[in-house]
Amino acid sequence: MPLVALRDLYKRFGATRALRGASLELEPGSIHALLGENGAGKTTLVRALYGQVAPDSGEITVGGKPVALASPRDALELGIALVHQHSMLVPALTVAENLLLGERGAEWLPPARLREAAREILTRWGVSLDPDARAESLAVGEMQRLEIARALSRGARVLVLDEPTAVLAPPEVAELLRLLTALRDRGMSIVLISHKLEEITAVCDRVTVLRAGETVAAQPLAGLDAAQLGRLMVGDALPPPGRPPATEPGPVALRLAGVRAAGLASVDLELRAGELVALAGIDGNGQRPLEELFAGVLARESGAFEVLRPPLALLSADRQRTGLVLELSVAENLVLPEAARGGAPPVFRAGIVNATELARAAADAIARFGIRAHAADPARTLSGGNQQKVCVARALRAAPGVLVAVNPTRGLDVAATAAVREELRAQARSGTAVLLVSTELDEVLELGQRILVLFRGALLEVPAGERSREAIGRRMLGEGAR
Amino acid sequence: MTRARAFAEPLVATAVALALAGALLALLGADPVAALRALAGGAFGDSLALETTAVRAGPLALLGLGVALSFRCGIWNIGGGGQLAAGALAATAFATKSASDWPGALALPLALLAGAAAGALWAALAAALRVYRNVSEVLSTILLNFVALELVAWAVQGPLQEASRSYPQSDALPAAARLALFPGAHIAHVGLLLAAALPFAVWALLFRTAAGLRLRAVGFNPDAARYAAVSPELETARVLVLSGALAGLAGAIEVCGVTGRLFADPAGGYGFTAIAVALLARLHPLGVLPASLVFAALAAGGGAMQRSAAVPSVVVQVIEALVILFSIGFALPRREGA
Amino acid sequence: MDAQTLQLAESTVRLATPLALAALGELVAERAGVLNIGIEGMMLAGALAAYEAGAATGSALVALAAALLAACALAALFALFALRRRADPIVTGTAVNILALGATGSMFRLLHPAQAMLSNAPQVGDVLPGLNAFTAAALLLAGSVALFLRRTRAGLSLRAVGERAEAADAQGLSVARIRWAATLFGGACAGVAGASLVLCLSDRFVEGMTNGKGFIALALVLFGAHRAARIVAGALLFGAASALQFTLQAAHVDVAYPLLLMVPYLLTLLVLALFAGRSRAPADLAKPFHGRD
Repeated sequence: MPLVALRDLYKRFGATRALRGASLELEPGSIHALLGENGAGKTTLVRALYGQVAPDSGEITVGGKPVALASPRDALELGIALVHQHSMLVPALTVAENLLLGERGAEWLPPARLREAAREILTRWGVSLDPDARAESLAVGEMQRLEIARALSRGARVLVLDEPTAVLAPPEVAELLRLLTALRDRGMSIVLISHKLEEITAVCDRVTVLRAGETVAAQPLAGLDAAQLGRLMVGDALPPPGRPPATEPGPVALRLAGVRAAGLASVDLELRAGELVALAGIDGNGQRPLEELFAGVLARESGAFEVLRPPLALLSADRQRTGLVLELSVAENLVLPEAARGGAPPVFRAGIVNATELARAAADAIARFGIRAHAADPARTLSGGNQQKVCVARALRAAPGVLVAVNPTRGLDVAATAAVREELRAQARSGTAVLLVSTELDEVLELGQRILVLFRGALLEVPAGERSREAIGRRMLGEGAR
Repeated sequence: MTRARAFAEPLVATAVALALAGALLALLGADPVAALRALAGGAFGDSLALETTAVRAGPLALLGLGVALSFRCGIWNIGGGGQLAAGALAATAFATKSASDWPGALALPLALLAGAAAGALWAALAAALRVYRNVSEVLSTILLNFVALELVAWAVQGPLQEASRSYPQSDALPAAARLALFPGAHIAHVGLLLAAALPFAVWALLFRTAAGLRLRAVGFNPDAARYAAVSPELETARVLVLSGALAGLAGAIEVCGVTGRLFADPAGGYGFTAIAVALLARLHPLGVLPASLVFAALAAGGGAMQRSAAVPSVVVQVIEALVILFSIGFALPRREGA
Repeated sequence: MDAQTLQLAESTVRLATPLALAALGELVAERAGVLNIGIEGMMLAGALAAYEAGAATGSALVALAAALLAACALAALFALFALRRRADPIVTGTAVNILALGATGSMFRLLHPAQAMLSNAPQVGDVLPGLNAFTAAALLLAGSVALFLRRTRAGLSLRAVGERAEAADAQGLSVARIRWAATLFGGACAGVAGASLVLCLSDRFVEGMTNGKGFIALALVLFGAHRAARIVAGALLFGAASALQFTLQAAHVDVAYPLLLMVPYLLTLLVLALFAGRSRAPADLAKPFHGRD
């Protein structure tokens, strides 16, 4: 009998059908892989198991008994713990406060007792952290270990980890996988969400594959190789990886020399016209400040920042927060940067909208990038892929000499990902200097003519002769850093 | 949301608020039916009542417009009352002290301009505190209301007090600085045309200009606006100052068109009522016109209700508060475009 | 200490007491992530309820209970819209203030026609020589709030909800329940503050008698950087400013009365300009929590 079973779950968010017949059966003492593309419903499914999503229909059983999970409290009481994809710590609280948060016990909890209890848990689970450190000061990997220790200290017998390796460098991934195996050997049941096939084949016992909200396979992992898993995941053979564009670099288009800013140690970078440079690195090593620097939102403290072939256009990592104004229409989003410049022609004349030009601009973008939406639709109503196409269209409206794209394919399906990557190549071929900042190693290898690594706010060059996952991975952990 | 709902919901909100206020009155031993009848009579009963309603709607439309603009931009200007008072004070000061130095034809436009400028300046204080000192405009605009109130109280018993020094009020404004009445009207003045026209101008600004697009972008998502090179600080400061100018203009129109001189507390309850107007209008500039008429009718009828049905006029505030609550509560928070 | 200084000190404490009471309640609400700008209205409701119940029964205790009830009812209304319906807290709080102003005005006028004689409300006396019961309550409140926030499990939960509601929720805490409780507590404190206006500072109710004290209390929370002790210190500063204003007026110093009345508001603005930028508010303050999808 499975320890935990989710059977035939359905869930709809507005127009999106996140789950449509998703199932998962977890055996005791096993590591179960939950595999699927971005948007396949993996996170929704485990959030349902953790009481954070109310399924529209379907059944969840624990130990064979149907359960109603109205909140995380219900799940925690049944011994189910979820480590979310993004840290679920309270940044302003200390390590000790975070560890004890939500735990039941004596109401009187002075700082000394809190610290003592926290130290005990940290020692027991082999996490060496200062109990008085604020959570916001921890590195991403430390946050994750803290969250796992917290889950274990609450007596979890089912541990669900949502894409835990996405924020880790390869050696850290290996360490995490060792920990999970050790826990399994002690009888813990683990659900590991990932879309990285090699991690799954390394440690998992069984696999459930979700495609478009539906469970399409549930079977033992033995005998499956990465290629077969990939086919199960996308329903077809994975498209062959592309290659970096073969272009000859032209004159320098962007130059950063010794740029320092909050979160950036010292950035030196030269980008040439027609060149596609990829910037790898683990999330949290300066991607956000670098993006803000290019957006003109972060002031630099020193150093030179020259755009020699203006304008510079930015594809923001977070479409919904910084990329688009979701309440405005597709057309309005397209021309917002022009409105910012006091209303530039032809869409604006003397600051007033020219309706004909606005309609034309939107129609052009919709046709050129295959955006499936009307000009007047609020951006909110578009799918992630179409939202990203609007962002691309907007970035290219200005005919940029320099294009910076930060994690441009995050959260997109296979087709949309391929389209965005091809557009970046096309831009490089047409003479634009393209900088791709990506935490996806595969993407970096597929697109970058030159590869750099962002580590603790500074750049490390990967020599052309060392283009391998291993060499890049070592630099992601700081090898070769000054 | 369908267009029908956009019109139906405010109506339902008003009706429910009226019913609840009636229930409160009944609970306190008053006769709600008589009160309602007196209220309707005071608001629409005869031509004077109708004119009273129209005259009250003028400042409410301008203040409500300012509130709608600022709320849309994500900035909480609760200081319409203070900005109106500043405008009334400046217009009076100009009209009674220095209008005679100017050609007669300029007296009125300059008085109105002085009012708008003073309202803008009063709001600019809050804008500056927000931009430079990170002070929430919610608190600063509210506190500036109290300061403006005392400032006017001081002025009408000090520098601007009438020459005879009998009452805490200013001298009457010179005729050149007064807004003319409509032909045959008792109290309805031509300043109402301005109040009726400005919502259309603001509508065009919001939905037909680059500035309006920036402003709406900032209101919905300041982060994305910033990434698109729009400065949320600058836009919110501009909107705050603009809404202050509208309120100041309303104050000037009050003294130049209605009261003819400055009294203590020129804003009355207009400042808070304007919030109800803007919310009932769903923050739409054109919706402000009918919404201001609703609350003007309540205000005009409230006085009559107190006289003939012995029901306190402040009960109107209860209705306003209920309309605000129903406007925000029964439609879940959401913001719409045009 | 001469008599005049003593009197100044005494009125400082008396005037600071309602501010401290209201601000400490708001502190708890804000630490839970609830920005309640309706405390002005809740104070006003508390004041009227205390006056009516006190004048009718002659019992200060009954008056206090009535104040608590009235203020909590308004706080519940605020919570219903701002928490349950996730309406904007600033608009909701403003509506609560207008409602309280209109409702207390209507009720007071209906209950006491213009010519009727107003009876006095019972007065709350000193628990120790020179220490009024309300002042003692405020000091006790400051101490308990500080201990609660720093040294109890519930205090930790409350702070977590204010800093990051989704993280608290993921650890099995009920964000809604904690925020409701904090809002009601804040309302209750505002009610007591309002009651102190008629049971200690004056013996009558006057329409709109709070006159912005609720907003000054809100500013005090910022001034006090969300800490109980500093909020009490801030309340004393404001008490001193108001006391000085009365002293000057009594001494017939040649300053126009309205200008004196302006002082507390200008002082608040000044304090905000100097300190608001430095105060780190709870990260999830005034942000709605959506809970389960």
